[in-house]
Amino acid sequence: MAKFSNAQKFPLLAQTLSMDRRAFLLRAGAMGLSLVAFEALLAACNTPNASITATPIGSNTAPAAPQATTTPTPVLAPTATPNPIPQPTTTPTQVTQPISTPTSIPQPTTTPTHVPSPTPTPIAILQPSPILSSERVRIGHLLRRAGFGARQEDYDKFLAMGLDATVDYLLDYDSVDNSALESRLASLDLDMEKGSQLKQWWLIRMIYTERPLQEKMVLFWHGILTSSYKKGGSLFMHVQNELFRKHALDNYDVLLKAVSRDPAMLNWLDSKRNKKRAPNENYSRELMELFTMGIGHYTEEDVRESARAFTGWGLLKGEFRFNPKDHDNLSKRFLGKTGDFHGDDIVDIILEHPATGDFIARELFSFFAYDDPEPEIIQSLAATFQTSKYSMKAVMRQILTSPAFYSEKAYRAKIKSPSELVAGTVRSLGIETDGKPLSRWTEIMGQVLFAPPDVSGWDGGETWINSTTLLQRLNFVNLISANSNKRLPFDPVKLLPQDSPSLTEAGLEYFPKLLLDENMAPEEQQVLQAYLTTLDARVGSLMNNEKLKSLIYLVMASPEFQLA
Amino acid sequence: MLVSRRQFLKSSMLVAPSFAFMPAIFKRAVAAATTETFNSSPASPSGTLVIVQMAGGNDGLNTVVPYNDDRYYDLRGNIALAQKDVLPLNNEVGFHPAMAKLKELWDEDILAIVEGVGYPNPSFSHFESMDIWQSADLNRNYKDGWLGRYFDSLQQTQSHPFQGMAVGKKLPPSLRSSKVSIPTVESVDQYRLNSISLLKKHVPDYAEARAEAVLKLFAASPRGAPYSVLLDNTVEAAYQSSLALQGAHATYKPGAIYPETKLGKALKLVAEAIIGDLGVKVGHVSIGGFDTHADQPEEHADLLRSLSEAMAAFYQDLKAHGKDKDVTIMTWSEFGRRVTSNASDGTDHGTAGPMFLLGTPVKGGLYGERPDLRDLGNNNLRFTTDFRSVYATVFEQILGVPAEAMLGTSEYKPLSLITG
Repeated sequence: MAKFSNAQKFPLLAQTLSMDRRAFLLRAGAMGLSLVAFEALLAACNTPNASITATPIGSNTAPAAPQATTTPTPVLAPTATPNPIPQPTTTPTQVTQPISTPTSIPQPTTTPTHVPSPTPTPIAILQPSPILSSERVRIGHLLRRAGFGARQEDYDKFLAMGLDATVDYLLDYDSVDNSALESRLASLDLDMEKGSQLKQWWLIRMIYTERPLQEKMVLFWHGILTSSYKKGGSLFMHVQNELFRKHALDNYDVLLKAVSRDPAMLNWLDSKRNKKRAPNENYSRELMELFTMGIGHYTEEDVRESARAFTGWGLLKGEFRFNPKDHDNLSKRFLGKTGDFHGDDIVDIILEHPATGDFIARELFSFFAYDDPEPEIIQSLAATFQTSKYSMKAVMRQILTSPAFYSEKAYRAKIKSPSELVAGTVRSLGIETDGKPLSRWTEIMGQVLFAPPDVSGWDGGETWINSTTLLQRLNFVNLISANSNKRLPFDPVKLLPQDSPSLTEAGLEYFPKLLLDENMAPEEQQVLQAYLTTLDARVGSLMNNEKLKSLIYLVMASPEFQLA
Repeated sequence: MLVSRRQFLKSSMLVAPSFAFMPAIFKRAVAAATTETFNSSPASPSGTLVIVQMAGGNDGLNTVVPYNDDRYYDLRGNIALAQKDVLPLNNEVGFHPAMAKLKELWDEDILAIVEGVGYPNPSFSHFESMDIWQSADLNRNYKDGWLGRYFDSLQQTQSHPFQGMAVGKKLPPSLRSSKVSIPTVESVDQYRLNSISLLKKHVPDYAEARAEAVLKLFAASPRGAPYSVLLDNTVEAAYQSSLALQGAHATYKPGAIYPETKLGKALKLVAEAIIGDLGVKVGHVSIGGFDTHADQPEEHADLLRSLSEAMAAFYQDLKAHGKDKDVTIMTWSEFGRRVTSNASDGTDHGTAGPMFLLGTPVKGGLYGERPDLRDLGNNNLRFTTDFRSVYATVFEQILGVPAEAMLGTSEYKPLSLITG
């Protein structure tokens, strides 16, 4: 109890605001606050939807009376798109209400007890999200999931194309010209033997690619079919990364057979040590546990027999080589079938098993849409997987066109991974960079590209968020918004309309639209407005550029910006 | 009247960041950096537990070596530790030769070794077995970790951000709590909320005002989204604990020389928080690399040396500051290793192993029962003490909470290895 004596000693501003103006100002004065600041503030708080006129501090003139607009204007101006985005909660008018009502007086502590379960009833998935009824928001959502966020030019291009054509564009990426990215990378002349430059290379790809889904699939595969440069080195990881890119939406049997021969994988899971006389079960086990069926669908005997089938798959001079002398030619019994199986036969048998379709459907949907998908969704995707002969493209098309993907349950239901946050921020803001400082940031946020923590990849979800990683997320957007790293030059004014009468007001309209689907809770918008009011009161009309950057920081420091 | 932080922030949502008028909630965090606010009202009269996780599966047989058992030398041919090299604890077992520092503490009678710790139907998967140890639940029905449930049971956690502290990039699942955000710290230098802006020159308390706006944003975000509570709790814990830790760090002077290893640095961080009176009840550090399938002898020696030196330095540091009286360090690993060594001078995944408890409150000695090398199950040790008995000891004798409530069963009785 004593701990809260401060709260009692100082009157809460909430209570203060219900006083008459004179008492209020007296008290504000006692707190050492600028009269001008508080007068403007008080007016703003008492007048719904008032636009606040900044008054330079230190001027002796009386503060200008706040101009109440004739029509209620939301803090963010209405969008130019045909479908205005409905506000998800209360209207601005309602928001101002609780301040003067007794209910805003602090209540006894009610600590949030449980993280709400992210799994409502299946019916919920059929409910269209009001926010996602806007084409612009759907495209923003799609590009955050099936890519690394949207630049202004992405919005311009895809809004003109429409959602359906955008999905086709993302899936049929072979016909998309990506030569600008390749030239950019060629000019950087990076050394793939060096881990830091390899990471830089990949982050540049994420930021500047014209084929966002292909790049996102590479990140997906890296998290499933894991390997690490800690065992085998960077050059092999570069080869593997290109393999994932080549087969990004290929049939899964093709990808699995290729990755079973991939040098980084042969190292990572000890295939190169798997010989007739001394079988090594590492790859065999993880192929079933982590790459295909999942635990519970095979026996320890199956692990041993499958390992025998892969014996002799080794490396010579950095490339895959089958050594017949090390291969066990005798008959194997695997998942109920008997024969002189080789590794490719094992892959074929595993893919026929229904658990594999379920597994890959669950992994894909959870990565792109939301966690713990409903059984009906898994069934439907697994059926597509089987009938299309394991086509990842067919499964992905189904996901990206499904109502569930655009449902309320899917919207902002994922935490951005560090690479999504870092690459997405740079991409969305149109920053031109060689990408050199970026991998350090993903790492202190908890993601070392090309070196997942273990063979099961990154756990994702809530494990991305802890006190250290959240501080680093905020510090990263601080670095960007403040334009404080020469390698990451950011000039927000360039993005704003040339004729904006007020930089900060223009910024308050533009950046939530670019970065947050123009969808911040009214209360959050009020926090931004109030913050701006305070800055105005402190430095007057000076330093508008810096105020703008400070506001952009808050937009990117918002909880919504952490979500994909 | 108690005020929830969220309610407070919401009630002042429309008000500009206050500069001169900082809400009490921020004052507390700031005050903690310089005073003993957090220490002033502990939730219960209880000690502090510091956990050292030995990830990968430690080879217990080559840690506490049965150097007078011929069977050990029969089964461990290529990697057995010679009788003349081990550091004898008695005439049956001795420490690995790299553990000289821990041997000194054994001699001081403040190191307890519980032998043969494990659980029924052991899993040989790292992931599964770690899950079991971290949830203390063979069926893994609990979403929170075994210590997360302890945090859940505490009152006033919101105002004591440092009751738990994990060192590393990730929050260990054993400390996971759905109610409380546990500070996860990798380095003191990075553990701060930056406020780069040219406005700072003109607005002296810019950093505080901006931080306040950030916290308000998180408090204002609509509930119901899957991660909104997590984000809101975390941002508050992050901000408050960063101020507190920076404060503790500013005055901390190590009372021992820590080894320049990852574990040494991690334990030093925990020591800073304990010595700075931040109110730590549970600290967690981790050392990896125990999955010694090949070339074990050299690797394992390095790991045990690192463990031994870091734990000893931590204890000395606390002692030098007079903060050792209530602090106990406990080690664990997800499993031991196969009794017979393999052809690559290594060992494969096994079962039971020893656990260490070290500290001034500990009654030194051997506890539990040594597994019989002549009675193996599939070449693996049969466990003799369930790890949940050790957890029950921790709950009842160190943390001062009833084990039954925490473990969901009264089946596991505490060992008497903590002095009254």
